[in-house]
Amino acid sequence: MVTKEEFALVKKRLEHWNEKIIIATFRDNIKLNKDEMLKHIEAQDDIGKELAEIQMNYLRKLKERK
Amino acid sequence: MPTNSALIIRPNYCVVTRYGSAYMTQILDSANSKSLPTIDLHGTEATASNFFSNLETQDPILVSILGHGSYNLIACQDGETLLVGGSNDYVLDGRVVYDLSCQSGRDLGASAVANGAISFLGYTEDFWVCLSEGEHSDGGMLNPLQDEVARGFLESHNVAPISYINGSTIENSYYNSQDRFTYWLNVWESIDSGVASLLMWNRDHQILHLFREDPIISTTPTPPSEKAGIAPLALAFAPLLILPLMKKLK
Repeated sequence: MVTKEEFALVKKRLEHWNEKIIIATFRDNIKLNKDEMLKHIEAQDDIGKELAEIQMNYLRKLKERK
Repeated sequence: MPTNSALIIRPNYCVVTRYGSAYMTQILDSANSKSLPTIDLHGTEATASNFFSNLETQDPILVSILGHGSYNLIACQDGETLLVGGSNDYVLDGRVVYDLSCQSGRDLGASAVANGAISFLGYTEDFWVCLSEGEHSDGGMLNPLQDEVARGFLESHNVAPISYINGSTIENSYYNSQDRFTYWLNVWESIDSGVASLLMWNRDHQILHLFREDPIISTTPTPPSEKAGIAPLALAFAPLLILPLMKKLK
């Protein structure tokens, strides 16, 4: 479950995403560039939720290490 | 009883399967270097009928799968259904399976091992790959093997079957893959933490279902010094190769 505040944090993070790097998965031919990622975050749809979970998983683990 | 051989199925019909199939040549090279008989179902050959007929006639112990997936299904070329947990996964009975698909490590992997597979290494959630934008019509680079951004993602998975081919136990092949993800994660943390976050996601959702640890696959014996090859050296210098690339991407 990603909170509203976490979505906002992830949005800020993805605003700094390198525009020349795209992401893709081995599911349903999903391929996203920076703008598309941000749209999913704003819509808070299934892909947006997963992108947010990925970033939050990273940030939480980073915090645990410190 | 499966024979000492390998089957690799690697569809190639979208950007991510094109990249995945290109990087799976690393597994083929490793099998060739060990003189391991290998069936390579690539691109249009990566069909369900070819897969099942080769499992039956060649009976390989090692099966390496690439394809789109969901929790209980793996697809092959053009999205054709290949394996469904509880339906046809009994064909993996007695085999060591390495699967690069989204999600299928969760239900299909568990089902395959419950139905007789020795092991199933896969991913319980989506497997994400970062790619450099390029000139290919699918948006990626023309030669995926030159994409240093994608390299860590696909190489980290491939280390698992390659380790097994080189004589590691199944369990250690999983740990070697985990270690390679962590290595690339550390490299990318200092370059681009967005890329690092996706490497971490893949690493954290990699799973090994293991029914029993069988004797390691027997390959041509190689002296320890040759086993190491130039891989450790290449890895040590990998960050130096990536830094100029990242400057180019900026």
